[in-house]
Amino acid sequence: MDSPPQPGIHIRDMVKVFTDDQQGEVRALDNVSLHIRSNEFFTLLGPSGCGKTTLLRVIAGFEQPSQGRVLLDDLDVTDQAPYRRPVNTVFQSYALFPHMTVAENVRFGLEMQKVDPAAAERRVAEMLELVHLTGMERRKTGQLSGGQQQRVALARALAPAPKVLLLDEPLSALDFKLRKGMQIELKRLQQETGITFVFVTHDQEEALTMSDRVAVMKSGKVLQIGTPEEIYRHPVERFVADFIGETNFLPATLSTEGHPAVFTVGNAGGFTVRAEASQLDQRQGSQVTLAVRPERTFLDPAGHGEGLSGRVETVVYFGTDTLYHVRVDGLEAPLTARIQNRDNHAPDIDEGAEVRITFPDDAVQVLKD
Amino acid sequence: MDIRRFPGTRPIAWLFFAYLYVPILILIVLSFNANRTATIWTGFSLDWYRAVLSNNDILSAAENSLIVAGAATLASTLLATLGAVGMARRRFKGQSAVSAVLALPLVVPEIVTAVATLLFFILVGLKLSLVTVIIAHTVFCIPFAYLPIRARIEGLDPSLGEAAADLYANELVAFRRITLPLLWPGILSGAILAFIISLDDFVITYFVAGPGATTLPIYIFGSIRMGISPEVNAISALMLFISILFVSLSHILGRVTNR
Ligand SMILES: Nc1ncnc2c1ncn2[C@@H]1O[C@H](COP(=O)(O)OP(=O)(O)OP(=O)(O)O)[C@@H](O)[C@H]1O
Ligand SMILES: [Mg+2]
Repeated sequence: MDSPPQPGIHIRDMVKVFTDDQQGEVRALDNVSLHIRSNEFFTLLGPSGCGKTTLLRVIAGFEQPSQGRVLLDDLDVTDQAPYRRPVNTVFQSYALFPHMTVAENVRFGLEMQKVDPAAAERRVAEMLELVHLTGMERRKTGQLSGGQQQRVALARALAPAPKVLLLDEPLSALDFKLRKGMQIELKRLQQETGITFVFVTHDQEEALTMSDRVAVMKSGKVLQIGTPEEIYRHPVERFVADFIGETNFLPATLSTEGHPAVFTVGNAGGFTVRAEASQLDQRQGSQVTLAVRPERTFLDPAGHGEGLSGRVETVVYFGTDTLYHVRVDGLEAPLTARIQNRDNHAPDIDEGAEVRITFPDDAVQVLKD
Repeated sequence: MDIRRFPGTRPIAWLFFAYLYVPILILIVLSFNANRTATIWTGFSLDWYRAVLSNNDILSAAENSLIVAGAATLASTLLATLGAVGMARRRFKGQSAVSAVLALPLVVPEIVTAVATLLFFILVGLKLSLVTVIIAHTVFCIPFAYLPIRARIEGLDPSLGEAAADLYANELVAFRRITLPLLWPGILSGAILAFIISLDDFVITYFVAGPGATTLPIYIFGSIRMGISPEVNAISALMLFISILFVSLSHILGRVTNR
């Protein structure tokens, strides 16, 4: 792959194998290639152990890849020591220097870069203002709350004005309220500074709300890269659809090939939908899985007309909307429909009601499993 | 059930402490005894301390002891620090075996070490002197210095070193600015422990000391063969005082820096 050089981070054919006493060989990164653009908020999302931290550590230089290259703005940094890379990290444990004050922590990177002391002093003050910690300069880091420590870590990493900021689940130790606040602050900081953020999380909501683009990872592989909307609306694999938001999975049969193709949903007495399946190489009659989001799954209480027939099992009121779990004959798991409440009233469908289930053509995503 | 509630725990504890400390208490009291016969109390006096401090043999033995303990402490602490940092740096095959070997001198009978060390010096043709004592002390002080330093390293967040590297500090600077200051309390306790162990050592010193390399424990042993004198009591009390001073110092340092 020899694309014309573009600014940003290029990860090329990255493989990282750990040899472990108990587990033997672990492929923490399995042929990962991706391009993170300059100035973007890029998120690595995936379940525990999928290799997010490893990828971040390879970019920072703490981990030497078994194979593959890391390019930073066209410069191959694969063999560069961490202290030579214009990349700073906000560690999951914060890793603040406990024997130094807040100001000394933030100044450390500037000192190492031999920034003139007066300029460094100004920069420290500026950074502390940015993270709302002015007045805390002389505190020891052990005397700070979790949220404050997190902001010191952020200020310390931002002070040397790196090209890239790596953040490894920086919000995971914070409580819900603080976490929401910091999400907004981080996004603001990224937009104000224009620094490329590579953000690791296993919280899909966090990934969707903060990122310009998201890479979904599983077992050392990148499954899909796209904007939050692309990933949410057009997941390419069952794993992605399942990991990000809620999804109904339905078996279907391809009845007419074409663009779009026609699928018959359900086993008996089903109805047909049209959907694009260009990424699949399918023949007429082959079985596929369709993914439909609950908020695009419609219930018709009249109980006749086209659609899958089912019976409402449970109704859960959520304030803004109501969740229906509907049992459909021949399907293992109940389907979920999320219907928006009007004037905060739940729609008039009760438990035990017989309903017809339908969804519009453009709500359907054909998965390659 | 709380073990403190068992009947008889309290008297047994008292007995235990009495057993440990009454002999030492008696020694200290008798070091202030006016009577030359060490075991008969006739009144308070500082004569024996005065005698100790004006006895040239004792003073030169004390000087030797301090030289040996000082040099051995410096050398063993330096080696122990390097060893502990190296062991923490990366995992390697047989690491636990190396760890065990490092702590082995703590359980090997001292007399065995003494004979082996002497044999070694003879084999390599080293003449016994104060230098051989320093070398021997350095060796057996290493595990004592190593353990507190290692414990301290294990308590450190390994990402601190990475954070330093991330912020453009090369290995040397990262060690000087981050690792060393954080290890300092461990290094000091290790050094103090090594110092006390060296100051107190008799068996190995007795084997490898050359002429003119008499240390305080050797001197005490030599003079006690002519009967327990109040002077010996006074030296012992002084050594005890120094040991307590150092242990307290190490304790206080640990407190202050572990906040
Ligand atoms: N130093 C190591 N030695 C051996 N195996 C390792 C090492 N570091 C990571 N691994 C393995 O590599 C895989 C990926 O780990 P990694 O830490 O990158 O996951 P992660 O996506 O960050 O997970 P989490 O969300 O739990 O932090 C895991 O199976 C892990 O056990
Ligand atoms: Mg991780």
